[in-house]
Amino acid sequence: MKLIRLRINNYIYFKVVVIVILLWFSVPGYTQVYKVIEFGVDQGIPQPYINTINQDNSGYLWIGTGNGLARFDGLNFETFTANDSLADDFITCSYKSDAGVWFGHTSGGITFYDGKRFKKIIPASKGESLITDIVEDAEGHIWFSTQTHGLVLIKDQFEIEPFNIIRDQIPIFTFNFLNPNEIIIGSVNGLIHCSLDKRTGQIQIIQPIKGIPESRIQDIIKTRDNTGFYIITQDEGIFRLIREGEDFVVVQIGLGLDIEIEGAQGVYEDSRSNLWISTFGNGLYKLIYSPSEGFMEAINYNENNGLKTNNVKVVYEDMEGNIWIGKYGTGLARLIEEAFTFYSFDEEKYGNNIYSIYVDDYHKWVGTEKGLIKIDLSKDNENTFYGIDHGLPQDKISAIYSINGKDIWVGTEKNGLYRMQADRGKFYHYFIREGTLENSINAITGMEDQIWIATKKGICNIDLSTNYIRWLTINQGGLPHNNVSHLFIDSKGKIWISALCNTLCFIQNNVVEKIEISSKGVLNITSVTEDADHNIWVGTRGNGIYKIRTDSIINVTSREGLLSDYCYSVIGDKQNHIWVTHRGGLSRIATKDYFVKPLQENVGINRSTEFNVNATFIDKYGIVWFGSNNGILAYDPSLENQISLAPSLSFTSVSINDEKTDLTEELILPPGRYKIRIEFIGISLKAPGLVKYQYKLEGYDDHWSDLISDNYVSYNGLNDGNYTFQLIACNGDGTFTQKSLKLNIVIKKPIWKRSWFYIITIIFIVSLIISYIKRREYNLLNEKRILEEKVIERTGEVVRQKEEIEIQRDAIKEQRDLIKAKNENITDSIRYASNIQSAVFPPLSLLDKLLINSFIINRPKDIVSGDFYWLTKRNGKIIVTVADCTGHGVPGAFMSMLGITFLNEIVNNLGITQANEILYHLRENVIIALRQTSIEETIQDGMDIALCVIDHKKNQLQFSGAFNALLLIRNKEVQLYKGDNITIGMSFKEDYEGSFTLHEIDIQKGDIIYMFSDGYTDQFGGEKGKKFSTKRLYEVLLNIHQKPMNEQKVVLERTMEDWMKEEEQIDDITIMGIRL
Amino acid sequence: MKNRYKNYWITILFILIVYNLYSQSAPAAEENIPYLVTFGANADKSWGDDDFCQIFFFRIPMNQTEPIYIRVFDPDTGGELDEGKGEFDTQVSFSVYGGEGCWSDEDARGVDPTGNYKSGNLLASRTFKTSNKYDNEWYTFGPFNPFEGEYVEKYDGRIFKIIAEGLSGDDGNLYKYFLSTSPKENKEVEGGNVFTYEYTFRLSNDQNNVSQIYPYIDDRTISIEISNYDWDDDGFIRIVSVAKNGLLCETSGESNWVVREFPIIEEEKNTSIEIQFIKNRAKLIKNNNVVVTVQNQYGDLLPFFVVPIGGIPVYNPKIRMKVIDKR
Repeated sequence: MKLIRLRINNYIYFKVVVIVILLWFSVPGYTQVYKVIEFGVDQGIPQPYINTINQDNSGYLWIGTGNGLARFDGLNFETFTANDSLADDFITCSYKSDAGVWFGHTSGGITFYDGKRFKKIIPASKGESLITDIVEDAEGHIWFSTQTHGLVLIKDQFEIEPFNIIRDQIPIFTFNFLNPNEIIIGSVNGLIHCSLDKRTGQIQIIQPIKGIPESRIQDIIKTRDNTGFYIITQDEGIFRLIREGEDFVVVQIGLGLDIEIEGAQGVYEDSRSNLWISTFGNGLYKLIYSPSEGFMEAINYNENNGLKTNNVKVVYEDMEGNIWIGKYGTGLARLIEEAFTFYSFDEEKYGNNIYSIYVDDYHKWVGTEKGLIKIDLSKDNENTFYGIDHGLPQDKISAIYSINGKDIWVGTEKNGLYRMQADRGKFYHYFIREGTLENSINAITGMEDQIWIATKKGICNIDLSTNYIRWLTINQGGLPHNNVSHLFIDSKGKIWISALCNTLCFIQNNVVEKIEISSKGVLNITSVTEDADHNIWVGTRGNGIYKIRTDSIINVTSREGLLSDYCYSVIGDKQNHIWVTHRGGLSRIATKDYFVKPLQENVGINRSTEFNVNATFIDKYGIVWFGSNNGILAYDPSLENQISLAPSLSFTSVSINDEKTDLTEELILPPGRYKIRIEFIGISLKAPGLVKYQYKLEGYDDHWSDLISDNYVSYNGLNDGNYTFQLIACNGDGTFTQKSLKLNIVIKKPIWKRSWFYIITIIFIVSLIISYIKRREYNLLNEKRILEEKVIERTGEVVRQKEEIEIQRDAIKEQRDLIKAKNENITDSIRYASNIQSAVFPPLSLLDKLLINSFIINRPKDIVSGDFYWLTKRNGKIIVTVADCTGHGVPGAFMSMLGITFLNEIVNNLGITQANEILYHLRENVIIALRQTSIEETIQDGMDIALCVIDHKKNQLQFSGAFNALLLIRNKEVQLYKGDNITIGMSFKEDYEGSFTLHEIDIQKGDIIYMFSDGYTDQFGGEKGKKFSTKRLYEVLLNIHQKPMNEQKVVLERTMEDWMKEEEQIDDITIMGIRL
Repeated sequence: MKNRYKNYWITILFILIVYNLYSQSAPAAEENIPYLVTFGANADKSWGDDDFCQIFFFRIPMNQTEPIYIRVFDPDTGGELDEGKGEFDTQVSFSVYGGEGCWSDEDARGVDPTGNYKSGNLLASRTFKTSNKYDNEWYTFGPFNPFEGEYVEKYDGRIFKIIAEGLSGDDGNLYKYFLSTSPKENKEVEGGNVFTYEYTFRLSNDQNNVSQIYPYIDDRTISIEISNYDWDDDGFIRIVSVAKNGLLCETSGESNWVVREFPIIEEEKNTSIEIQFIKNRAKLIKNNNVVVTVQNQYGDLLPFFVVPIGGIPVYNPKIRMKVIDKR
């Protein structure tokens, strides 16, 4: 009995285990995650409770919360409160009309924003009851519903007109117009049909509308096609209301959908007619509309699949088609485009790092680090996991290839190739070659019965018809490199090889062909793909993307906007895009114009996402699949928002010289030199970070700027002139604004640059010149008059002076004549005296007689000479002397006469022939004659003298001198015998002893002696006007002493004439030369 | 085996005790009152509800920024908890109010639901029909933005109001409230308070149970009037305070009000007095529903603070510093 129970228990246990295992491997093991971009208090929203969202004409998104109004430009939130002229901080609802945006408040206040400033239409203090809804009627008037005080009409000029419900003030939560005179009101107990009496301002309840549950009506919106209304109740569902004549047709929506709408807060119809239902407690529902089938599918966004909350207050679609979700308690969120879907797998069970993807007609195959996941497309995405239990190794699934879903080939990173045929449910190892690298599979592809496998050691080709395996490596077939990372078969059947090389290779007809794409080193080619126009695109690690054209190669890199030059896979879609995967995001290149759109947070890709090498696939529906370390990202182009609006441009501030100024269409500034900074914003809520700007300041810039991301421009030193700042922008898709935004800047010309100033200035200058000329003319005339007067006056003076001068001239002439006459008399006297002096001087014949070889030069300065020579012969001796008396001219002549007289007396009469004795007596006689008794009292006239006594008998020469010397040249040598420093006359020398030195010289043959006065040596002349000097005379004499005496005389005279040139003779000159 | 079950029950009891000690439910666990009660509009007042309406206030502290929820236990009428009078046919609406006037409007704090007692902004409402869908289950109103409440300087917080109103039928709807930060479980709002001015509740069916409520006596009070309605001779009511040691209060009979005035001495000011409801132990009176109010000498109703039990919290403590002369 126990044994039986045990067996039964074991059997039950076995069954349970089997069921568990089946469930384990067949229950969907992945979740679809809807990505949203969250904006909370940390990002600048004043409160995480969002009550309303709207967008103004400038593109700003307005978010009403319980604690202020936030304005969002895509990047930053700016909060406005009652301090900024809002009626109240608590905003309950909003509405955008053509004139601006209207806001209702919890206090009953109403605020209007005209695009520049807020205006309190009803201040909070005058509000009656919470504003629940805002509707614009057919005439463009704005109506507000209050919770307990009926409706409020805002008429022109913001005039307020209340409309109250007759008798029973039922709470109004929402309302709308059936026609100008009929409305439907959402109450706490259903939908009520009412009429409006605009004359009396009363609302008359007609009746509750049947078919709508007596539940609280949360929202009434007009259908986009304007055929009716959508009515949403709090807990009883959503309805479509259509007016047919006087009747209402009510149709409940979403009955066939598995949705539970409880705690509904509102309904919103987007531009595709999908309905969005926000709820408290059940998240957000999207009822997908199909024109043919109506609402046949619903998506629930909730805290379990990415929304992070189940409490959604409001939904709004902006002009670009972005869906904004106002959450209650968790802030604002933007739903990432539905075209991008994220799938994540149970990390622990299956692994969520996706290395390979393949989608065939029946299955999605996903390779992870833990095995292979098969997702059955026909069984509501039921999945099966293939791991060790199914014949696969514990290894990374690096490549997948499926032949019609029946023959599955799987490549592993380390364990080679595996194959599963038909429905065997188990893989087996497919041997291709021994070796570690040969069994490291990078990619698998195929065509017909050919399988191509890229490994780290070449390409393996399996012919399934023959099971023949062929390898291509560097040395077998000519591969550029053995490590082949990817194989791609293009539309023409070429098999493109991605490897480390500088050539792109493909296999065609079993031959490896090469295309050189880089002449500078090798490229790490990771992936190859083909675009819709059959161009080949190549992705590389480090060098970006290459497009191979028949005639050229185009390189797209990060400079062109690629997220990174490291590309891990490339794949082309059917919408003329090339998708490139990177670490942290995707790049999408438009094949037509190469515009690159980076895709990161803007489509929900977390920057920590790393897309794996060649983990991409495009299925037959055009859906592109990307494998990453965070699961799978799928891009479905059919769901992509086709709206691509250019950024909405506006200026945000203008600063003049660092001070902000009011924004106007035209900036008019007084003359000056300005630093102008212009800030602007291009609102593209879809991808605000990708907005780029181009600008030009007409009148300053010659060309448009390059595209910039900064939202400001500064101009330093703008001078006077008319400028127009033009701005355009493009969004992340490259859509540019059609019209430029303009700001006119007028810097007024300074006064001195204005035309009237020129005219005035010219007139002034001309006037000034004329005035000047006139003044000058006047002055000139005046001066002329004065001058003429002066001329007359001066002329009189001159005449007078002339007359005086003539008188003086006559007197001078008379004096001159007198002087001339006297001078002639004196000259005649002197001339006569000269004759007397000449008579006194020994005749030249005597000289020639006594001294045959001799010459005498006697050149008086004036007519008579102060120098004299004298000679005589006594007792066989020839006494010869040359003397220089003090002074020259007449005084000198007198002295010479005195000297000659005394010499005749001393020598000829007294017979004294000794040289020194002669001079002694001569001196004594002069002193006596001139009565020179003492130095102080007598005139100091006298004479210098050189005296020689030549005794031919004794062949002896005596010489004594008073100051004058004797020059003897003997044997071509000059011997100088100086005279005593005693003059012939009263001597100044105190130590004089009364005698002269007697020099006795033995005459030798050839001796020649010279005596001279100082007239020759003291004469000025020469180049520098100097004295001739004794030294130069000695040199001359030494040079000429051998010449005949008469020649020596000529030379000395010529030498002196040459020396003097134009100089005046300053003294008497006397030289005597005697050859002994 | 017995020991094992014993430990199990002790554990559950301990968890319940701990849970209730820190909960913000009305009635509070300390009051030993099982349920609040509101009858349908067609009910006989002698069944214990004088006006088929019950108003409770929730104070949210100013520092509360997370959403708050008001949860109602067993809001519909039907099932095993509610008091059926024949076949269940009762509709009771629960409406949550906030905004200006929610508390400050005098009508909101009155004994009778007259005038503008539905003052403020209607934030949420739901009418529960005869159903047992929420039998022994919680229904959650919210989330509410704390800023949707009315700011009351006196309480240094924002006030929400919930009105339970019997719309039709004659059954008694028994329910409880919980002020929570979670829509799915009862998680107290830190610093939150719950109070009412007229307390309509169900007495326990257990004869040994003593229920008590704690009206707060402020410093302006010199006397209080305790009113009770429809006591049904179910024992007696006793007043206990720091100065009153079990004064008996007259009890009402069937479907009538009894008012008894008690003088308040200095010692009792700024304290809570305890009103004990002691069941008749001689005779079991089941399903006894009572209405109690307390007002001061001016006729102002004094709030029953359910959370924290019995005492108004010090919202703005004023601490006066006195300079000590060191010499």
